[in-house]
Amino acid sequence: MPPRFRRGLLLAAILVGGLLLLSCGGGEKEAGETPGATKPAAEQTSTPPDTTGVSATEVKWGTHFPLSQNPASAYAPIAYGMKAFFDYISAQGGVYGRKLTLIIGDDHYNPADTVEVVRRLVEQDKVFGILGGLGESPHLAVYKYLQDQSIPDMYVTTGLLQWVEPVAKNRFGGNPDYVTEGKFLAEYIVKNFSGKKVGLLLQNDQLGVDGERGLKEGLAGSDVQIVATETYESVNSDTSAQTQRLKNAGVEVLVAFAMPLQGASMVRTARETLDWDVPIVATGILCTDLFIALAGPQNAEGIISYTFGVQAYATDDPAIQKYEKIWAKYGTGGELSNFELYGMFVAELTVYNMEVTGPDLSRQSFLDAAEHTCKFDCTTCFRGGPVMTSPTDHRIAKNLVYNKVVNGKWQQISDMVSFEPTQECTPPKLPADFDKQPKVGHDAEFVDVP
Amino acid sequence: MARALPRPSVSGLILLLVVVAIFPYLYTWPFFSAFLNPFRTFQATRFGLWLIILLGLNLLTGYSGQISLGHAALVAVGAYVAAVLMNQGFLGQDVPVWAAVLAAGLFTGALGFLLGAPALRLSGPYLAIATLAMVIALPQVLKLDSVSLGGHEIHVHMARWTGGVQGLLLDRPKAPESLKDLVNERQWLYYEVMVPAVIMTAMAWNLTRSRIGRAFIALRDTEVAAEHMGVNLALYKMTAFALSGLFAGVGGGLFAYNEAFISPDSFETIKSITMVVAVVLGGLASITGTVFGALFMAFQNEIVDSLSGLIRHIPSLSALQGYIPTTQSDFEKLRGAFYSIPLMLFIIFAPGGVAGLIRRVGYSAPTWWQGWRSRVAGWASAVKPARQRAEPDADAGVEGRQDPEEKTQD
Repeated sequence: MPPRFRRGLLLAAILVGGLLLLSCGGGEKEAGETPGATKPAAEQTSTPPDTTGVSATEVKWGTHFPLSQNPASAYAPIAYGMKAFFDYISAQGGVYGRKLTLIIGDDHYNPADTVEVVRRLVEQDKVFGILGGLGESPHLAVYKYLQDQSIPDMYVTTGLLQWVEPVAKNRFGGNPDYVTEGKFLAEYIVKNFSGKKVGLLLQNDQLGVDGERGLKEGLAGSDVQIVATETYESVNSDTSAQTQRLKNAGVEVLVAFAMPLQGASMVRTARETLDWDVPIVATGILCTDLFIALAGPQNAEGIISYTFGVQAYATDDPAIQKYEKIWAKYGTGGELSNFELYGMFVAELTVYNMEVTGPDLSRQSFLDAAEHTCKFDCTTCFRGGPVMTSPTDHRIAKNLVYNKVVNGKWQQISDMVSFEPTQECTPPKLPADFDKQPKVGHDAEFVDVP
Repeated sequence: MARALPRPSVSGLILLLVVVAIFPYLYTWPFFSAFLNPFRTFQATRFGLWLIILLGLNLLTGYSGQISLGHAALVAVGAYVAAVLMNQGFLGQDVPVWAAVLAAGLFTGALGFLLGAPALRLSGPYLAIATLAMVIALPQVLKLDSVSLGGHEIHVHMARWTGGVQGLLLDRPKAPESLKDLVNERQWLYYEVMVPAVIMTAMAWNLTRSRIGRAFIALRDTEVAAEHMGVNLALYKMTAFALSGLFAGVGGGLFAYNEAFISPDSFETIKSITMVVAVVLGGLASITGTVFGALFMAFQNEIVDSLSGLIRHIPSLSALQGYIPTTQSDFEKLRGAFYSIPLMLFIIFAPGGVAGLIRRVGYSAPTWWQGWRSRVAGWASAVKPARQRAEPDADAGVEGRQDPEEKTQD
């Protein structure tokens, strides 16, 4: 027998022998398996409170963000904003004596890596929950895993409708979902551009798909019709060809569900190259100073968008001043931008919910508190538009305001439009030491800890 | 020219196989519980997946010398084929996992074979460009719903099969009923991946030492001479692509099964390039090298984390704060640098990869030891009493002997 066959036989014999040996040894169930791994969610209420990640002195949170190897790492400042706020609270003694730690896992915006990062956070670092995970495809790879194990999946930093519909006990949406965005923008178009033809520029992923869907729903039954749709891949930054085609199709209003680079490319092409002063309506992602800078203040004049909270450019607002101080002291340097602001927004909400939960912090009790957030006036919330959640509504950003670029800056041009399904809620029963915890919310002053 | 590594002894191989076989249960033993836990089993499963995928790439790029930057596209195709089969069945029938993965491997192998045809005329950077185009184009194809050609909409409905931009969610993998008491989900996944991984490693090992393997190496080293020796270049080039497709398809199918999710962004351009980097780091044209490459792919995040952690713990470093990164956030911002700079340094000082390093140490160590022995003997003779030195015969062998170390300078 040639040597290679002998080796092959030996190999096979060892494998089979090994497996037989194992099966004879009898089944030892793994002792360290995370509780409830294969149990359906309904049985969770009968299990003891899950206090993973909570110790007497610390609460560990985790998140997955693209920090390198991908253009989406431009969103990394959101994670730093979250961390800065947590550090601010920890400097004041933490929540019920527990300091807050945030472990940021780098998933390169790749779903396969997100699985690894989140598993490591949950099983190795034993975090309490995942806060603000970023990326549609990345989070799609892990949301089922988090749901099956009832791990808090708080305020996901993307606007997919499926995070909040159907509602899952452990999961909360962060950004307003793109379908609602589409409907909101459609309302403005119907009111101001009646009878016109609309052209769309869409990113070729769920952002574009959901945005288009919302827009179509909002325009249904009106005299505005969509005559042309163009898409681009998120790895491409030049959308001049798509813009040209939209112009050729006779579009009279341009709507963009795009990222800053591509949106700016579209604006520049339209205004400079094609000399086309078509009205432009853009997704809230573009409602930032960065977009105006990329597109050029002259070109961006008159663009319509929306926001769901006070923006970083409102530097005379005491709320922004407070966050600027927090960022200056606990941040990674540089100016406060909307990204860090958003991070601080979700971190503040999380801290508030932890304070309402009380000293007996467990995953279940925290989620109970989080889904009964009753009129929390967050720092960046609009007056009259506090954060409200309910067991059937896990959205946190439902109060939108139209914005327009005026003299090179975004300006609010309307009153707040609320998508709140109900204004009724029962205020939670606050725990005994609630008032002794670090204050959060619009009325809380900046506390300077030396 | 790559020489085969010194053949590990059979007992070493047996020990390795035993460890691989009982790894998921090891952490319950007292000594191993210090550094093993169920998460390590998960990492070992990932390692197995990458091993299968990188074996295919090494066969193509290392042994056959056909640089392919588009391997991730083949992995993605395999993953989608397996996912669609597991999700929607075939002709109304449910498809078991092993059949789906096998079908994925065969389909991707056939696809690889066809893709090898255009590669016949290309080599070096041109082949790299062509394969790169593959992996750049694939995500769009997977998301495709309709194409407008000359004003007409042609509905391709690819998105209906592939789940479009959202990707495909599969059912969570479960161990069969009969084995429910022996293995839990994680251990089952480990065996589902490791058994094919071991089989395919043995297959690759056999391949490289067979006629096909020799043909690959011949066509890598010099095409003209290979042709003169009767190697059918076209056939073997296409076979190389086919084999890489087979391994990629099986690896991709198992990946989809393991994660219960596949999206067009899971295997994209950067991953494809990283795979080539991993194969080079491990060592081209070496099975052991592929093992190290797979370790790199599975543990790269952890390596970067530990590296930054290590540097942070150097005490005197805080004095240089402001000039070099010292805080956690500095490291996070410079993560890319912490990943690439060690990579660069490693490849500069060890161009043969880890396998090359082992080879160098493996060959030079015995000769280095011999060199030391002769040097020590030389010193011993130098301090010998004068009367013994008068007899030339005794030391002629020692002083006149050429230092063996000098003969084998790499």
